[in-house]
Formats: sequence, structure tokens, C-alpha cells
Amino acid sequence: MTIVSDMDLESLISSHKGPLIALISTWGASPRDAVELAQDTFSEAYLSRDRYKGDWDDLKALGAWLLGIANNLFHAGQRASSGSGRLISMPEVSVADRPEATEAQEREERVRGVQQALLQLKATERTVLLMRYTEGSSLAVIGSLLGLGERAVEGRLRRARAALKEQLEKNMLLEERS
Amino acid sequence: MKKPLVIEDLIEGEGDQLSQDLFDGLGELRADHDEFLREVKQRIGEEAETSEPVESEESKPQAILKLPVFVQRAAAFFPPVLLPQGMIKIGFPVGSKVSAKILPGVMLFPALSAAMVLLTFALGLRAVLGGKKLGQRQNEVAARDDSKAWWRRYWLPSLVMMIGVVWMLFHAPNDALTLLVSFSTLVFLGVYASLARAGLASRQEVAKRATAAMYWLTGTSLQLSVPDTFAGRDLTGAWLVPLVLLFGGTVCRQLGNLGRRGKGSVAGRSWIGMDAFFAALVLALHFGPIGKIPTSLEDVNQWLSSLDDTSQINQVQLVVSNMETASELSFDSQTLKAAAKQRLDNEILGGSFNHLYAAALMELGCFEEEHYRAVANPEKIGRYTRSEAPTSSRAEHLLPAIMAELHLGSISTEQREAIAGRVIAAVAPGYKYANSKDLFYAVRVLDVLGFSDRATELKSASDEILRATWVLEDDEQEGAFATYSASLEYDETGLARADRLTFVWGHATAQSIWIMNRLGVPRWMSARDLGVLDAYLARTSRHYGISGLNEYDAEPAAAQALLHTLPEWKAARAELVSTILGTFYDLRALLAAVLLAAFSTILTWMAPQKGEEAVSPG
Repeated sequence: MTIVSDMDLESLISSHKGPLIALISTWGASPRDAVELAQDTFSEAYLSRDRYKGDWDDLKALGAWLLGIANNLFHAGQRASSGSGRLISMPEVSVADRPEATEAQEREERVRGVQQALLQLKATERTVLLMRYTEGSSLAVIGSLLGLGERAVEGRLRRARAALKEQLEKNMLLEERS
Repeated sequence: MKKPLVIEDLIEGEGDQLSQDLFDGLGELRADHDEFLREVKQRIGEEAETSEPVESEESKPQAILKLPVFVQRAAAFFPPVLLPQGMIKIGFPVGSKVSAKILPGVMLFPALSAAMVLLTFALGLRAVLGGKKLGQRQNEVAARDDSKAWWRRYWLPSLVMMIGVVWMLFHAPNDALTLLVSFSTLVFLGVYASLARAGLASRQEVAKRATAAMYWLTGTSLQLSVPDTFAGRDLTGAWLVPLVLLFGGTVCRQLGNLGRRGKGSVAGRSWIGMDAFFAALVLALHFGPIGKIPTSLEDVNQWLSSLDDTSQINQVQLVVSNMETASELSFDSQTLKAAAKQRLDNEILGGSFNHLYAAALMELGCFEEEHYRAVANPEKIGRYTRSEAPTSSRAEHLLPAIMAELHLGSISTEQREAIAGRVIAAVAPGYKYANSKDLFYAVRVLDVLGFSDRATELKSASDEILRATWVLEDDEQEGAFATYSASLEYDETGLARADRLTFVWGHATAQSIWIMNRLGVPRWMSARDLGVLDAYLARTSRHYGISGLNEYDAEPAAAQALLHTLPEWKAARAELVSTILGTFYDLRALLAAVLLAAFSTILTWMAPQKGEEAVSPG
């Protein structure tokens, strides 16, 4: 496959894959479908690259274009499937009371706690956290997909992290009481 | 060992355990880069290989439309002998996007040109029969004033008419020709009836002008009629127009020669030879092998029997399927199978086989055991049945794998049911790129899975998709199904229109007729819609006799055969009986030519033998 010099598909995937998959998952697609839809998005973007009128270095324009394609594909899929969208599929959390838990088990429980807390956040907070921590993507790339500047993403990220910590503490308190 | 989170632009407090926990907790959303890239490239490859032919003039098999549109149209105004070789076959560009904007005007063309024919008839009668007898002596100055007065009075309408005719050539060539001929008749009669009446124009001069005008219009009408824009072998086909004009020109010239003594016998014979040559040329261009000729079903069967090229096998399969359903298929598949085997052996062995051709080759019986094994892809089917939302694999991509797996007997009943349900759900009529191909492959998947009866679940989606892709020609002579609705322009009633319908839509139209045969003709399609669809298929199925048939000609021919078997078509035929007005409309170009020839002949006959003798002083 020859990739044209104007659109560097590989680096585009490298920078945008994670946040795009994360963003799609927040629309109600399962992780597997989010990955497939992201693959569709990049292939569609490549095939219709002639229609992109912006600069390939303009992250904001590129992000908006990718988002538009992903959005269209997602809604086409939604129309096709009879069911409505659903929330990201996080495994049910049940933190077992195991005092002898090993370090690995402790980490696993912590991660489950974070997953549960994520589901309890507001959608905007959850979205920015997923986009940031799925692959450690940059604020600029996240902003390009959300239509926000870097400062705005940073502010949203700070608030989301604070909300997540608060939620985790609430959950721990509830757990202790129970 | 867990993968550590790496963030290049860390914000304050972000390097904590919470970030790593989030990263660990979102592992399900993380796709391996290389695997992801490979999947994307595979999708790009599949799409690029299976995308519809680009609807450009470049894709036309007879690649003759290399010239700008203006040059193509302007070429119609020049006699064939002045045109470079090849330009005689110049066709008309199609699918202009501006058509919807000029629609109200375009829809009036047939009425306008038909009215013009009637007006020409009335004014022509008045010009040759009314007023003073032709040749009757009249004051010379008054006669010249008459002629000048005609131009003074009509210069603006004449100019507007000529500009209008040239403009109309881009949108309705048949009506442009009618108007051009009618307009020429009026101008000719308006000027020469006056001059002849005054005795200023002799029979020879009138004959000369009439002959020149009709020869010029013969060339023009020939240029306009040769492309498959409004050609046909019946009386409504434009082939008769140049012949009538040629005949009229010949008669006028011969009338002009009457009474001329001692000269012209050799020249007259050579002129008649020229006339005969041009008549033969007109007939050859419309009926001979260098012109386009209708494609019979026997032609299609013979072409299939001799076909050794499998590059367009999906189209070939559709031709075979439609012919078979219409009970018209009788071809020997040996040549095709031999070519297919060679291709399959080479490409499967070399790893270059495009699986999207596989289903067609399987259905045509070209696959052997090792080919099935090479195409089988149980992972693809498993992935498809497990996936939550049908966003990637389309029925078209899935069909070869399903057919191979079924041949090898390894798809469970549960999987079949799951695939059937998902294939039906995946047809999205509201999607801008939804098209007949989606329906076509969805129904084929259901057929091979043994769920043909469930195809009826696609009926409403089918009606919607066919409605969105249905395109009517501006002059409402033809209708077809476009490949996609996204590129169409709709009028205020929601009907897509185009000034000319491209032959490229033949594939989508053939698939749509296949679907209509399976799921029924949509209720929104009227008898007239079926009639214009039939007209489109009849035109696009004509092929150049000299170059033979290809899939672009065979596909509409087979689709037309299938259309004619539909009960809805049989019912529609009763409603499509020609009315007197309809026949008049259809024959308007021919009638205009007849009027010009007839009035010119009458005017020539009635003009004085020699103008200078008729106008004696005093």
C-alpha cells in the first residue's frame, strides 16, 4: 500500500488512535466496536483524503475532520442496528474482602475501583479522562477531537481528576460502612 | 509486567498512581498499533478494489469523450466532413449538477419545440400560399423594404432564438434540433417568400438557398443523432431527420435545375451521387456496424459463451443471474470457466487474489476445492457474529467467506441466524452512501444461508434506498438508479434529476432491477417510471457493432429482459399506450424536418424561373 506523502496515515493513527477509540466508546460503543469503528474512520479518511481541504499539520482541522467521519460512521451503524447505544462496557465491580491480598491483587482492586468511579462521573469528565489515559495522548490531540484549545482541555482534565478522586473516596467510605 | 503510562505533556499532579490506574483500567480500549494499522490498510485495500467505477468520462469504454463539453456540442454544428476523424462519434456529457437549477425551463422544452412546429406550419402556409402570388411582379424597392422589414422586425427574436437553441443543445438536444429546424424554416420562408414574391429571387436562387440550408441541417441533425442521446430505429429515432432534410435538399436542387438548358447534367449526376452517399452514410451510422445497434439476448448469450476475460466478473455474474431469472440464459460456460481457473490458480497461488470477486466466481461454478479452502475465513465470520454493532464488514465482504464456509460445511445454525439478523440490520437506508449494492449483497447472503424468506424484512429499506437513488432525466425521457444518492441533486418534490443519465449507472440499475424482482417494484414507481427505466436500458444496451458487446452493454440488456418479466411491467404496459399528443411529441423533430422540406419545395416550385426576367422595368 502506498501512502501518499500529504497524509501520513501511520503517524495519524499513532497520534489519534487512542483518543478516538476512547471518544467513540463514550458514545455507547463497546470497546471492540469502538476499535473497529476507529479503523473504519481511518480507512475512510484515507480513501477520501482528497476531500480534506485543510492543512495536514493543522491539528485542529484534522481532528474535526476525523471526528466528522467517525460521527457519520457511528450514526450509520446506529441506524443499522436496531438497538440503541449503550454505555461503555466496564466489568461489574465487586471488591472482595481479602486481607491477604497480594500486591497484584491490590492493584487489580484499585483498577476496578477506578473503573467503577469512572462510570459514576459526568459524561464530559469521563470523556476527557478516557481520551487522556487510554494511550497518554497529548492535550493538543484531545483538544483537536473535542474542538477545544489545550488550556480548556487541561482545565477539564483537572476538574475530571478531582471529581474522580472525590468519587473514589466516596466509594471507599461506602465500602467501609458496608 | 504492566505497561507503564507515558505522557509527554504532563500536567501538575498527573504523575501519580491514579493516572497509572486509569491507564491500566482502560486497557480494553487500547489497540495494538501494528494490528490496528494492518486492519486499516486491509480496509483501504478492500474499498479501493471494490469501489464503484468512477463516474467520469474516462471510464467510458469507448474513450472518445476527451474533449471539452463546449467543443463536443459545438461539433454538432459542423458538417461531418469538416470534423477530425473520431469526432463523429462524440457523445454528450452526462449528469450535470446544474440541471436541477434550470429544471423548470428544461421541462418546458418538449412543449416549446412542439408549439414551434405548429407555429412553423401555420406561418409556413401563410408565407407560401397567402398574400400575392409568388413571382407576381412587385415594386422592387417595396420588396427589398419587405425583406429588410422582416429582419428589422425579427432580429431580436431571431437572436434570442439562436442563443436559446445553442444553450438548449446542452440540455435537450432533441428539442434544440426541433427548434433549430423550425426556426430555419421561418427565417427561410420569411426572407425568400418575400423576395420570390417580388420576383427578386429566381427559382434557382431559392433552390440554392433551400438546398444549402437543408444540407447544413442534415449535417447538424446527423451529428446530434449519431450519439446515443435520442437515437433509435423507429420513427421517433432521429435517424430519419437527416434523411428527410437530405431528401428535401435534393428535391429543391433538382427543381432549381429544371429548365436550365445545356448544362448541369454531369454536375447533376455527381450531386445525386453525393446525395446517395450521404443517405448511405446516415443509414450506415444508424444501422450499420459502425453505429450503435440494439443488443439482443442472443447477442448476450453469444458474448457470454465467448467471454474469456474475468476482470469484470461481478458484472458478468449479474448478467448471468438476470438472464437466468428471465429464462433467457443459454450459454456455454467452458471458455469463462477456463479463464477463471487460470486466474484463480495464478492469483491464489501468488497471494494477489481479490476476495471480492470470489462470490461471483463461485456462483458461476468456477471454484474448485482448493480455491474454496484458500478463501475460507472462519475468523472473519466469527468476528462478524461476535461484534456488537455492524460497522465494518459489509455483506459484500462477508459473502465469499460465508459461501466458502458453507461449501466446507462449517457454519453452525446459530451462526447462520446471527449473520442473517445482522446482515438485515446492517442495511441502513438513511445513510447517504446506502445503495442497491448493499441490498443486493444482503439478499444474496440471506439466500446462501438458506434464509431467502427473510429477505422480505428488507422490503421497506429497499423501497427507501431505491427511491433515494432513482434519477429522472430532465426531459423525462429516461430514468435510472444512481450508484449513490449522495451525489444527486433533488428538486423541491424530493425527486433527483439529471440532464443526462450516465451509462455508469447501468450496474446499479441492473442490481436494482434484480432487487425489484426479489422484493417487488416499489409502490412509488408509476407505470411511467417503468417506461422511462425501460427507455434508459434500451439506450444504454445498444452497442457499437464494429467493436462488439461488452459488459456495459450486456448488463442493461439482461436487466431489461428481467424487467420485462416483472408483473408490474406487464401491468404498466397497458398504461403506456401512445396517445396522439404523445406521438406528436415524439415525432416533433421529424415533423419539423418534414415542414422545412415541404415548404422549401413549395416555395422553390412557386418561385419564378428567372428573377431578372420576371422583374421588367415599368
